[in-house]
Amino acid sequence: MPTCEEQEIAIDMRLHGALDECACVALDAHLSTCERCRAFESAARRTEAIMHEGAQAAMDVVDWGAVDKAIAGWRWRSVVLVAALVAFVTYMAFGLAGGEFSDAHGPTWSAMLAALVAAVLGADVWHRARAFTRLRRDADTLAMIREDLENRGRVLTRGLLLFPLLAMFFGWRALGGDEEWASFVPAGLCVATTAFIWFVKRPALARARAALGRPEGR
Amino acid sequence: MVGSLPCLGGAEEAALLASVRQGGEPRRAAFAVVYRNLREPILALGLHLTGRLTDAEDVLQETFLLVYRALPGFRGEARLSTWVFQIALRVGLQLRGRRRNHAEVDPETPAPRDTEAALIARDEAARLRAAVADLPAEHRAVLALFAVEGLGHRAIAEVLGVPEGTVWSRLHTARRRLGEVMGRR
Repeated sequence: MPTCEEQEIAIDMRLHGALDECACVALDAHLSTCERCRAFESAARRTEAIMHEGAQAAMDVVDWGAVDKAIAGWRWRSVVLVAALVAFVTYMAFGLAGGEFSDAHGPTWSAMLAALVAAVLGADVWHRARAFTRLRRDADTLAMIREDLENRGRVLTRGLLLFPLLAMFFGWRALGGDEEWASFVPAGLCVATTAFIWFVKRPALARARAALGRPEGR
Repeated sequence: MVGSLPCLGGAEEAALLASVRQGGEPRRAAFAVVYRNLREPILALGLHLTGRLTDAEDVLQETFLLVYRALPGFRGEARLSTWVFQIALRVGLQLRGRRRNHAEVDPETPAPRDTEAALIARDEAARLRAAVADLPAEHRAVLALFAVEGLGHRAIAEVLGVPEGTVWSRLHTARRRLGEVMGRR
């Protein structure tokens, strides 16, 4: 004799056309005697109806012309943004560290650091895009999402160790020698990157984890 | 019909992928076909996952941006639609993480059009969206995927990467949890 829980699963299967005729007859027989399962069926049907009606109403108000245009624009926008970010970081590093303020080593340090920051941010964007479009068969998609978030968390933790150390190194050089501008710029860049990770990336990651919730069964 | 999944047959998918590999104009034309076929179900999925029309539009845009970029690397290991839904699911589930202030219900999201009891229906729909948004990802995902019309349980199992039996048990647990959350509100 199937339990109520098994009958509730059968109710969902019938709602989605996955229950054979024989099982349907058995389910109807059970429903005629079980009030709890009838309430479950009623709630399930109502939920499905509300979700379908909500989607239908949304489709009617969507401005597809605007959405299509935005998608066409987005293809270029992200490329332009990354290019602009790299150009800005490089310009800032060269512009401030070069010229009359720097010694021979200044631009080299700054350029290396600008490249490092651009590489870290670029790798993050690339990794995210790759993680989102990677197709693994027979692997739980939700588990993969959690695994990706854990990996990103590890990368951010390493960044939070690396960039403050670099900031201290350049800060020490800036305070200790006659090449203060050449070292001040990379130190500032490291502090800014640390702050960016701490105040923007970490909270976003925490929100993403919270939005996913705990895995089933925990 | 909302989200009724227009099928791309195996031969049609193979032809599309061949066009994608040619690059240039054939690639753009193939992308346009994929987009036209799947934009409504993906928007519906985004709406069910996020509960907000504006967020659903963001899910749609980001999903197809990723599809456009990654399409040349897609080797046909699964159905094209399964792959697009997997991407949309990831984008939709993680979108909230990128929002600083997430209002539960978007005032722009239209309510179901029950003419007789519009206010009650609006309130019920709003409570349902908020309750779904409170569920863990596994349950939100399975409810949202089943709410996309035309997406069968086998396709849902492929999108989630779990056996069909797991899909049914997750759907059952999701309904129970949803009932509990709705009861608390």
